[in-house]
Amino acid sequence: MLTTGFMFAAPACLQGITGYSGGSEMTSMKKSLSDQCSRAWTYILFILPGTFLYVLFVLFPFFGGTVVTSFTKWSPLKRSSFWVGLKNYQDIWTNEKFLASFSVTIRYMLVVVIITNLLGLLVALLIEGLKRGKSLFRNVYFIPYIISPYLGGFIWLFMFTAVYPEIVGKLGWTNLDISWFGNDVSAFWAVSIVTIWQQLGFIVVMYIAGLQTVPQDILEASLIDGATGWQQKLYITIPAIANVITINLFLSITNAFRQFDIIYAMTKGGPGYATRVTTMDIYMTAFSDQDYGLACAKAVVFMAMIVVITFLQLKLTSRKEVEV
Amino acid sequence: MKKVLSLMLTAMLLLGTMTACGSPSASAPINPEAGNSPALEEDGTDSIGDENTIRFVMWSDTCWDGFQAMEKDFNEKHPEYNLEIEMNSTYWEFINARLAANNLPDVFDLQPGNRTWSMAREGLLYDLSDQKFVDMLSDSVKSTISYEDKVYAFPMAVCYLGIFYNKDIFEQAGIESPPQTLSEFREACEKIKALGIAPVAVSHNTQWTIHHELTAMIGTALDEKMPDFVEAMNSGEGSYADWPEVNNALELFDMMCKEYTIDKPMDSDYSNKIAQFAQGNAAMYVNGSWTVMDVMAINPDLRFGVFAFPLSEDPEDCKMTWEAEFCQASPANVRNPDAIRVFYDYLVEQDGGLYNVAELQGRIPAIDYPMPSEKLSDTFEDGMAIVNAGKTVPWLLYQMPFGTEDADWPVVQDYVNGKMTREELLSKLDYEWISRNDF
Repeated sequence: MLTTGFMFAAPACLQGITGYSGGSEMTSMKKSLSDQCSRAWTYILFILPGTFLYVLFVLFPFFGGTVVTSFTKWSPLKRSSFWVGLKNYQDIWTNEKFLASFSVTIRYMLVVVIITNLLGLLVALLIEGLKRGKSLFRNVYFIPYIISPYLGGFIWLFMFTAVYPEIVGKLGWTNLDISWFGNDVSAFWAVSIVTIWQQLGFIVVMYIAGLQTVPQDILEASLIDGATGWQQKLYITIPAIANVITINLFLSITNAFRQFDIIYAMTKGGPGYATRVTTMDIYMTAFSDQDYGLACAKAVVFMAMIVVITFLQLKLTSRKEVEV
Repeated sequence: MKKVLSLMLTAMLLLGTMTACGSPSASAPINPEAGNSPALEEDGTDSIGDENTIRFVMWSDTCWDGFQAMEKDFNEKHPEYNLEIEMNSTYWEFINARLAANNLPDVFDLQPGNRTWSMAREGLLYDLSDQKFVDMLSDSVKSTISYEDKVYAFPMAVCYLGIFYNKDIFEQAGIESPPQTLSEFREACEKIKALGIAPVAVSHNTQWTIHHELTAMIGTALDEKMPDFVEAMNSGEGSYADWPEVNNALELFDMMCKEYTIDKPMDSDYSNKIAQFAQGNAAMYVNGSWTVMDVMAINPDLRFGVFAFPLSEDPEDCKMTWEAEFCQASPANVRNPDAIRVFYDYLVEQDGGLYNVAELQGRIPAIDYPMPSEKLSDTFEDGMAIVNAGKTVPWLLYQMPFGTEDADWPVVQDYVNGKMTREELLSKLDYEWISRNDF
């Protein structure tokens, strides 16, 4: 933000300072540049508080705290901290728990992102196709998003362990009466389902906003040309909202990587390590193992992995965007 | 003009954010996830409130009502002080974060044994040796909260861990007395199962319970050999597999946690375990004496008692875990030593802390107090009969290194879920202990 402001302000100001003098045309140009400079400084001053807070509470703690600590062995219990260089980073690649947690995280991310986006787009198309009740359905789908994920996790824990068995029992569907947290696969799907439930509303709202920007004249022209509804969706609507798809994929990927609350509330990473995602592994390394240096190194490496994956995703999907 | 307006607006925005980031009020809950930890004072302790405020942070406890009553009672009796008790559901993460920030609460919960010794060794705890409760404690309890002959914590309660059982179901199944050997235990479980009742209620979805059960059984099985076992493990040379007694404990553990459990054991949490037992859907459960009030709250008319762990074919080996349940401590650089001393004195008053612990929480105080046994079903008399007969062993959990509990429970969960053999379990438990020896 600050960089953008300065980039805008600096040339304008420089032009204002070094601009031509003399002549009415030059005078009006000088006034215009001076106004631009003045506006630029106004913009900078407005973004200054936010930038200051971002640097103070995000960048400084990250570089001055997390990154620096990742090169140390720090034990709060022993009140000792000493430099170990790259040892923590080397240990990560032989740390079975971290590698296993990353595998769980990738699988979890793929399941949640794909299902949330496909389902979200389908629901958005259905809602947009309604003649009445659009607002109602949009709001109903959005409600889970505003519930605290931690609370949602506890609610669903009760649903899976107490409500669901009652329902299938009463309906006589005993084949479906499974132990949701009794094995790795069902526990994994339980936390995935809750995450999808929680995130879906936001994705739907974003897709609805995108669908509303699709030009109706193109759709009407395609109808005249004999396109079916399905062909319209595939060849006109989806390419037209490709930018929204890019944004939604980016947001859902980063949210899936950062997920902690729902899993902590439901399984705490169990049974065993079946749902222990990387965020939880980092948390346990710091607060249970008391190895803050290793935890910070894991966090830095994890962050780098997320940056690479999201960069690749943005590169791939932004190529598909079209102007309509 | 525009510049002046911009500057004024910027200054106002900055001022607003600075105000919002000021110290939270004394009553704001501590939540590391919300990031509102209090500011760090020069002496490193809690800065919330003045010197007459005592902040007592405790872990999740089903006796919260009792602690709220304690807060009210103390504040009425000592109006010059202000006791504030808070419960934190992510307690150890919270304490570890506060430890890292050199900002421990004025009073906080602590496990006796290794956690207390570790913190005392590093000079983190306030010396309570001259408090009046010290002379009231038994030597065995005192040893778990002392380091180099100084006392660093106050044991609020003592507890026993054993097998709680429904007396009516036992009678119905024709079991005349609680089993004292492994084969008697298996026979009892088969008889209960024949009635269509689950022999054992478990809570494998709640991580702390499964580890408590395992360590109680292993520790009791080791008995007099426990100090040698602990020494071997702490030296880095030991292994669970070297001790045949561990195998006996696992025989019992397998029956109670794998073979004879309620349906869907991995979906069951602590609340469900207690509810299943209280409602008569299961005949037994393993846990500590602190659970009795939870059962009574659901079914006050339930007839139930407790018996010791049958750990071999010799009834003499049938023993129970007996230990200081939990304690309270203060940081070495506590900012209000006078206030916390008054609080620790209150905790041993017959009509103060002791009444609260025994009558309202249903726990057994570490200091002598006439227990309201009529409120505690037959469990108190059963339990104390075993304690008074000397058939008890300290709890292995409190001898384990910092962080072992959190590391062990996923391993034990995988074991009860059938994902690993007994040998693999013991090997992983070895690793989790030995790798934490230098913590």
